[in-house]
Amino acid sequence: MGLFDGLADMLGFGGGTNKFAEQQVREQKAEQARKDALRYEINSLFESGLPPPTGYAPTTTGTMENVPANSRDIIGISSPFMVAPTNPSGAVPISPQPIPPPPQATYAPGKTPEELFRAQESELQNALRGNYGADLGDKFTDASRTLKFNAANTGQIGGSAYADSAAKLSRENSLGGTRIADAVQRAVNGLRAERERTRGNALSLVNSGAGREAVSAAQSGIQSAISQARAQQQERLFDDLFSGLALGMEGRNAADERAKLAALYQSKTGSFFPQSATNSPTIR
Amino acid sequence: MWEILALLASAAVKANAANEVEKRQNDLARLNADYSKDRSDKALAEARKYFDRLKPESREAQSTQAKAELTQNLQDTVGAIEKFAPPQVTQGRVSDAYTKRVASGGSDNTKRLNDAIARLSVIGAPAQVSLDDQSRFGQAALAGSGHYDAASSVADAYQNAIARVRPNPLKQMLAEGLDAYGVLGGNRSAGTGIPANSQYSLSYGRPSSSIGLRPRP
Repeated sequence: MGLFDGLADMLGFGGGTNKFAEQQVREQKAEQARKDALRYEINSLFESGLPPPTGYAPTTTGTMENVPANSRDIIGISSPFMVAPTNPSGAVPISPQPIPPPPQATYAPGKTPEELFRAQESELQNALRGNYGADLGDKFTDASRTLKFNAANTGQIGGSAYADSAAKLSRENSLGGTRIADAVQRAVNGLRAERERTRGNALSLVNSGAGREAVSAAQSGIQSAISQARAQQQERLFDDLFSGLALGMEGRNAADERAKLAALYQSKTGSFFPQSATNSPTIR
Repeated sequence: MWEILALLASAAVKANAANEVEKRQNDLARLNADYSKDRSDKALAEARKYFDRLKPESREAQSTQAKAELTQNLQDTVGAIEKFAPPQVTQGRVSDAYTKRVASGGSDNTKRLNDAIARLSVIGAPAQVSLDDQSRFGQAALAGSGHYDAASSVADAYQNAIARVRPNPLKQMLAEGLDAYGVLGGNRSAGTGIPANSQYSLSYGRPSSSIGLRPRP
């Protein structure tokens, strides 16, 4: 029996199985191993400490003994997760090449993906807090000044209405902070979602047969996700803030009343109370 | 006598070759099943990892973590804002009533703010958990689909290999030789005039008048 197989192999007849078909099996396994290695590489860009793909361990025992000698090369690649070059002759088992260590993002040397992402998110959070905070601070200063002047106009400085309005102003300012926190969280969530989208796209590329360009796509996707989050247009969070202060409205009403009174005096008493150009009556 | 022995030997060689084919096909099918099972186990492990996150205790932990993260973010932001906007101080002498009012307004604000932060954390947590959930689901689905694709592609290659298993050609040749000897041996010795280079085989059903086989159409 062995003599026949040996002779058949020597003469190139094959020992019963089509050599080309066996080669196809080997190549298909090597292709899947290549995809596994790429998927591992891509996932390692997003998570640290991932276990490398494990080898293919046949679940039935004694496989080697039960398989004819000339088809051993099918299972000769003991770990299909290792990138194995194809061997045209197909007769000699191919020695697998080990998977390279997890890639290190070139733009973040010495950092794990989690550290890099935390740093990115923290940077984005601080920048957005600073931006929105400055916006809120301006509005608060304006509202606070208006409140003070209105209170002074109506003679309520040091009164309970002023104390209540000042407390409300302060509360609205702090609640404005919660709007900022919300907007910051939205931006961070957007960044995370974009990152996951990048990962998903890169893995889909690998699943559909792409090569190392999928890893490059993932790497550049991580960078473009943060750039995109930074470039996101700032939201208008505080348009309706500080608009409902009782003393502010009261002060505005008082100012309006005074303006009306002045207009009345003007119309009755001539030019004793000069009017601004915008309020000047129409010349008939 | 020798002719019969040759025919028997031919049958044995053919049976052996057929057995080998069957065995090789079985071996390939088993390798295929092993590979598929391995991939399927890995895909299931990925799915289980995701399902584990859906268990109530895991959900609870995720929700608690999301709430803590949101609370921290809210407190950090509000704290930073309050630093920039200190409470207003009224210059000059103010009444005790005013001072009390300001103090009560301040403490009321702190309480309301803390309540708002607690409420907002609770309101925002499900969305955070859901976002995390979606990304985990995507990862599990992609990993699973990768394993199933691998199993399917390799299975196709194995099926092709199984379909193309053929008997050992040397054994086939030997069997045919033995057939020819068994069928023709006696006739040739009797001088029937059949050319020596003719191919005769039982499997082909070629004529042999001496043993009464039918001619091939």
